[in-house]
Amino acid sequence: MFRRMKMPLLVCFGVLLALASCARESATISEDNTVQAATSELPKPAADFTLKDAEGRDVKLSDYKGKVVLLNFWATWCGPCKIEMPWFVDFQRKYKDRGFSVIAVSLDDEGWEVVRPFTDRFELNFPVVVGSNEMADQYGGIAALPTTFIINKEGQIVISHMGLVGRGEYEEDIEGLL
Amino acid sequence: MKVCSRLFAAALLAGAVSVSGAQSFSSGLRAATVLPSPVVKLKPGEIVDVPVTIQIRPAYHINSSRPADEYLIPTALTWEPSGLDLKETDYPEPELVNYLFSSQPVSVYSNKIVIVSRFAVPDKVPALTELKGRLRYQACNSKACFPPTSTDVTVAAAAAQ
Repeated sequence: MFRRMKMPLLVCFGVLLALASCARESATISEDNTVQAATSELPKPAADFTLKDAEGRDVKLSDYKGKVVLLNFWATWCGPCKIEMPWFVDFQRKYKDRGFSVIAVSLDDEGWEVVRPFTDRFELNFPVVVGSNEMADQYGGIAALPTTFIINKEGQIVISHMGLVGRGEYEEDIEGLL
Repeated sequence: MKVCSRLFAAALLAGAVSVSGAQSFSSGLRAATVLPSPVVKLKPGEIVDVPVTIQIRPAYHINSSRPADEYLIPTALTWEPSGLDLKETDYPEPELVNYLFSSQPVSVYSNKIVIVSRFAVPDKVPALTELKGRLRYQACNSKACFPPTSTDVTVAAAAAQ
């Protein structure tokens, strides 16, 4: 009896471990250059920040409380990030009136000099700001780009994605929280 | 399915995962390692080739020295002044690879590459023990990219007997 149960139990344990790792997807790079999951559990409060957009207006995360926010860390030199941008433009158009916003945080060292032409070219219709290492550290260090956090209406990070994921997966995340 | 896709993405990103102190974003991922070069023998008035071999982590690539996309950061090897006259630096032929994240092939290096810098040695050989340089690159895998980073390059040098 025990033997027969042993394998399913092991499988369940493995699944539980996998689920636990999903809740900790924010990742960092270890000293030996590997990427690892952070130890923080989700949900957790999204660190507030105030950064300027291209026009010099403040973008303050806490002003978005009551909305679902897709907080995307990206850079102009990041190929996978460029795939996602047109999706985010569509999401902003589709869900904006239902209490949703994308906020994109560029981690380009050169700042607006390189970011502004990019945002113009891709006709981004959501707030874009230029972040810093200090700001990235508040979000677990951001080991790789793109890294995206889905923040619920209460200002809690409930989902994080590191690397390119499918458009449908984002839509599921957003729809589930609106 | 969602769980599986996330696990797949995490596995792709992780490679061989281990636990130790974390680095912040700007520290970057050392996806490339500069391997030791042979000692460069300096003969008066001659041209000397300095090969620099770079090992790139499996499943990663770095941009070539001439990426087609204007936004991508090229691989570049630069040298500190040494008394030798840098004539040229030859980068290897890049691979053109189709990735999910790009509508056109991306010009990259992967596995092991050799960059060769060519120096003219003056008639009076400078008293050098090494040549110092920097390799700048930016790495990605098929799902994610890592911050641009630089690594030191040191090649031992000695006057030829």
